[in-house]
Amino acid sequence: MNRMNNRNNSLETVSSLQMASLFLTFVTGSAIIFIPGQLAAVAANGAWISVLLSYAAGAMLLAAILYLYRWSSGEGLVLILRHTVGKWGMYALLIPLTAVLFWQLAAIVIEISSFFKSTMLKDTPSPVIQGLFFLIAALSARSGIEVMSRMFTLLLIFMFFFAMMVMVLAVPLFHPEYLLPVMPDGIKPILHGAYISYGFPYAEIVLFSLLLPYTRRKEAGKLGAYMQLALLVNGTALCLSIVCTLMVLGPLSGHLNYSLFQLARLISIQDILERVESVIGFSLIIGVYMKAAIVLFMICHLLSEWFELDNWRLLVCPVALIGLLLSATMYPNLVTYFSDGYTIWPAIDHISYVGPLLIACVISWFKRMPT
Amino acid sequence: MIVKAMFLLIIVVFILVCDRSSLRQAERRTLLVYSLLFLPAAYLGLLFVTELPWPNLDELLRYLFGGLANQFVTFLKGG
Repeated sequence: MNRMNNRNNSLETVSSLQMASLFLTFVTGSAIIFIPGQLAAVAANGAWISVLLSYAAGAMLLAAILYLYRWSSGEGLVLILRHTVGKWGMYALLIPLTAVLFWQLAAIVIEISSFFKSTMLKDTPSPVIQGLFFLIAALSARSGIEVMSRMFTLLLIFMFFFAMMVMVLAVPLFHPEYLLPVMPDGIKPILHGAYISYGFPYAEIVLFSLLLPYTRRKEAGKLGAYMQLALLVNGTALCLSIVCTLMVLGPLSGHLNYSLFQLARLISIQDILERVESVIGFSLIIGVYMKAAIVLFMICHLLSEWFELDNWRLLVCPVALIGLLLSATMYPNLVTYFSDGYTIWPAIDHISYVGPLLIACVISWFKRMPT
Repeated sequence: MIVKAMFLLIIVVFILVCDRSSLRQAERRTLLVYSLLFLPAAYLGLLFVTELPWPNLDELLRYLFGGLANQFVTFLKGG
C-alpha cells in the first residue's frame, strides 16, 4: 500500500538532493561538536582513525539501506520488514526499535538542555527548556518533510559554514606536534573510539530507510550517489573537527566537553575578532533542533506505516509529549547519561536499528518483494 | 509538585485543543493509536509530577544492554 497517497497523508516528495541534505543534517547534527572530545578522551591522538573506521562501517550500512530501497522498488523499512519477516516478525523487530527511537529523541533534547543549563539559562528549570525545544521540533515535524528539507538545507549551510570558519580562524593556534604519537597505546583505544563513533552517529544511519520513500521516484537513480557523497562530507567534517581539536587543545582535548566550542573560545584575531564561540553555540542548537525534528518525524511516520493510519500528523503532539516526559524524568544525574550515551548506546542501536536491517538484507537475497 | 502538575495539565490541554478538529475527522484506528500513546504519557507524567523512583526507559535499556556493552568496553580498554 502506498502510504503517501492516502487521504490526509497528502503526497509529499522531496528531490534526491534534498533527501541527501536531510541525511547530512541527521548524521552530522550535533556530532561535529560532541564527538571530538569524547573520542579524544578514549583514543587520544588516534581519534581521527576511529572516525575513519566507523565511517567505513557507516558507508556499508548506507549501501545496505540503498540495496533494500532498490530491492523493494522504493519502499521504507516498515514495509520491507513486513515482506521479509512477516507481520509478527515485524512486530518483534519494531517494538524495540520504536522504544529505542523514543529514548534517542529524549536523549537528544537532554543533551541540548544540559548545554543551555550550563552556559546560558542556569536558573531555568530543565523541563521548561526541554518543553520549548519539543514545541519547535513538533511544529517543524508537523509541517512535513518538504518544508523541513527546504528549511534545514539553509540551516545546514549555516552550521557547516560556522564550523569551518572556526576551524580556519583557529589555524594560528595549531600545534601539529600534538598529533604525535598517533597510537601510543596500541589499537584497542582506537577501536574503543570507533565503537563510540559507530554508535553515534553512524549506526543511526539505518533510520533513514524510514524516509527514503519520500524521494521522488524519477530521481531515485541519483539518490545513492548523493547520499554517499553526503556521508563523505560528514566523515571529512568529523575528521577535520577532531584533527583541529587535537592540534589546538592537545592533551586537554579529552577533558573538555563541546570541544569545537572550547576551540572557538580561544580565537582572538588582533583583539578585534573574539567571543566567536557564540556561532558554535548557534550551530550546536540548530544541529540538535534539526535532528530532534527529524527523529520526531521518523517516529510518527513509523507508527503511521506500522498501523496503517490515515493521518500521521495527529501523532506528532502525543509523541512529542512522551519525548518531553522521558527527557524530564530520565537521567536526574548527567553522569549516568553520558556513561549510557557513550558506553551502552552503540550496543543498543546496533542491536535495535542495525539488527532488523541486516535480517531484512539476508532474507531479501532469497526472496522477491511482492509487487 | 503542584507547579509540575499545572505545567503538564497546560501542555495536555493545549495538545487536545490543537488536535480537536483533526480528531473529529480521524479514522477509528488513528484515534485508537492516538489514545494508546497517552498511556505511556500518563505513566511518565505520574513520574514527572510525583518524582517516584519507578522504572523508566533508561533503566530498562541499561538492564537489557548494560552488561554486554560494559563487558565489551572493558575488553577494549584492555581489562
